[in-house]
Amino acid sequence: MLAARRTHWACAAALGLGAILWLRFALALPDVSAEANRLQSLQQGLMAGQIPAAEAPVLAQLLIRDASVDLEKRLAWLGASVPSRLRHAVRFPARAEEDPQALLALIMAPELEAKALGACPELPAGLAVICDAKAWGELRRQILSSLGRVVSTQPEFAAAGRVGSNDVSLSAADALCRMGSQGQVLAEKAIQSGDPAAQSLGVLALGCAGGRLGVGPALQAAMKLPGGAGLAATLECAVAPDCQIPPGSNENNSPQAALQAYALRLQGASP
Amino acid sequence: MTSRLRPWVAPVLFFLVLALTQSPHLNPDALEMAQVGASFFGESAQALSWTHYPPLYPFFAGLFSLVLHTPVALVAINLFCILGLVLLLQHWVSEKESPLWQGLVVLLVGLGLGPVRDIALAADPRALQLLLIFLGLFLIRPEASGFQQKLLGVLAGLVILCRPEGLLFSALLLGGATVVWRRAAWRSAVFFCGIVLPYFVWIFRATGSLSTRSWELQGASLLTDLPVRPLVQMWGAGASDTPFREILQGVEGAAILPSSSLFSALFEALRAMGQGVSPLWLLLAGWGAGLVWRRSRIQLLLFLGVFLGALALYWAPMGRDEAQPLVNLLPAVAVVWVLASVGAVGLVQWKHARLKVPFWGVLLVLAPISAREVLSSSPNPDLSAQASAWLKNSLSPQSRIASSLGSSEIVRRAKLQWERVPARWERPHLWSEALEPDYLLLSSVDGVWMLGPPFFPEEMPLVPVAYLGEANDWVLVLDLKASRRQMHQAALDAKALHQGDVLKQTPGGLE
Repeated sequence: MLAARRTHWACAAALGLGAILWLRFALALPDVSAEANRLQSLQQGLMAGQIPAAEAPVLAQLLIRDASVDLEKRLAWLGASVPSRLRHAVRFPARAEEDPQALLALIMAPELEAKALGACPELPAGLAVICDAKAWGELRRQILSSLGRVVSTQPEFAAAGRVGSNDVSLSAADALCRMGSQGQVLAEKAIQSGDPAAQSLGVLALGCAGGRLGVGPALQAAMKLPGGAGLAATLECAVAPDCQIPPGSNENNSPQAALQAYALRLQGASP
Repeated sequence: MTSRLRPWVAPVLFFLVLALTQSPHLNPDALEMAQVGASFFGESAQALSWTHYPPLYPFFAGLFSLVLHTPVALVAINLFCILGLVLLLQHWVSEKESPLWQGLVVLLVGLGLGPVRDIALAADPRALQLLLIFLGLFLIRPEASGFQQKLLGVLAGLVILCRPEGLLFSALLLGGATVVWRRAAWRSAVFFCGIVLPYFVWIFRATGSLSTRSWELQGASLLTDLPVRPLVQMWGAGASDTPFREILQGVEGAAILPSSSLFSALFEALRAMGQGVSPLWLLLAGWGAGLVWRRSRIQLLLFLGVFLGALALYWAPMGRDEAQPLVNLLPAVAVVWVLASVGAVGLVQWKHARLKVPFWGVLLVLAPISAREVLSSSPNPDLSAQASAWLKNSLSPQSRIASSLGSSEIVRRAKLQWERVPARWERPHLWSEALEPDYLLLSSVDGVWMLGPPFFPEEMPLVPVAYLGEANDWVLVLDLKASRRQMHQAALDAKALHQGDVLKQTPGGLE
């Protein structure tokens, strides 16, 4: 009996020790060579046109922001710059020669669209449609309408939104914030839709966390909306320069009231 | 081989197969738990809330970290728990017979279950909870000794100290004990209270509530009002306290969970099981359930209780995980493991069959399915470890690096100062120029939502300092301080240029 117990203890110790030794090896931080940081080679490759933007879409997205980079290159990277889930969610009819992803990206970056229009007709084939005012007007309307529909779709359950860019409707609302007055129009449409989910996201796309100027009165009006839209408007109002949350508007002890109290606190702390 | 070594064949093989085919992985919560656990042994909790996580896993993580490197300590707890579970299931399945081939059945069925393989090499308290639940379940027998009855009380208490849903499973264990042991179950109840009451007193004194995360329950109703991401950002994912969490903590009244039908939640959970578990395993589990029914009805009812309890988690708003649909159904998967093992062993022992099934025949059927499952989940190269190593080698130890909680593991493993990315409405206040962190780390786990809104000023160039990985699996580090410097420099240059122009145009100026 004693011998059996000793054998079991010895086996457990040997297995435990083996497991720890293996884990030490498997979890050690690796030696990182200089090549592991691919930043420089990717940046140079992108600039020289040797590496397609799809190989490093997030870097392409940063470079597209950079006004010092040639317009031609920025336009070439456009297609890869939209987050893939959003790219798949926004659907519209495009002809074979058109590059739908680049066209969507162009609408989401109005300053680049203006520059691209200025470069007409010297544009890549996938973007050439924007030089035809009538065709581009129609296509533009369809893209915007599809983007508006995506804003109205909620993720099915909570945990979906915890990870990355899974919350496509929120990504679409964020995209509206970059789209200037066009984005504002879509945000206002979402608020007017009457659909509670679309209204909440519309409010987020209207306020843009203080990033859109002159929307204080609209946010103040949206604060009266029931449910999430009203709460979202209160939070957006807290950081908008021209919006004021009326104090003591919700005095019960609910989570919603706590959210309003927090918005007031944020407003007091805002620079 | 001596009979004494036979029970160790299955656990050793289980470990060897995992070591040869899988990779260990950390999760950000576990690294926080280790930090909280280290604070139980005298180290600083580093601005993390002690009360955020139930204390058992942090305690073990802190204890193991006294002698082991923290990531090793964390995964070792899981590996030991799952190897312990293999031993336990093998013992239970084989009853009084030789455990060698029954052990191999348990091994093959377990290896064929993705969530079991996954949790064995993860840093996560679920493995500890699983071991405690099954230890408790196997103690509930009519012939249990007084010591075993007391031990059950301790185990039921520890289950509560392990994960929030432990309450459900400890109620099941105590309910089972009361049915089987009748009045003798008081022993379990006394020891259960001896563990749980001091814990509740401690938690109540620390938080004013009997739940470690009452703020999360109070705020759950807001999930129907706001998109999850900004709300979770405001709560502050993980153990870092936030002002909003403090406010929610003070909210009185019952938590209201988002309305979702229990039946649809159960249906979704069953669907996830159906998609994540091999159909043969489910068939064997059904057959095994019939055999267990003959052996002990109460045992089968307890297994079903664990199964349904796990499925019910899908009802809670945070219970579903798109990326890992079975992670919160792990106790249900473990029930399939037990019952399928019983079913496979039962095929050989079935006395009424005209055709005798040899044990090697069962192993031959199970082995290819398990092998296919194991080989289909080959590990990815550990990009986050590479990124941690780069951060450690390249940035100053004082650097403040912000990321989502999902990517915080990269920063914490490099032993640098991690900060959460505040919610969109908090950023103008918490990330004013002086308070902005030094670096922002983005990864393919998160996407780029952290870049806005509120957007960094249009005129602020975003300066990357590292990009590791490939097109779909990447880590990017932005130097925010360098970005600000470049923006200010550009503004100064523009001002100087403007002044120069003014001087040029002024009569009697430099020209």
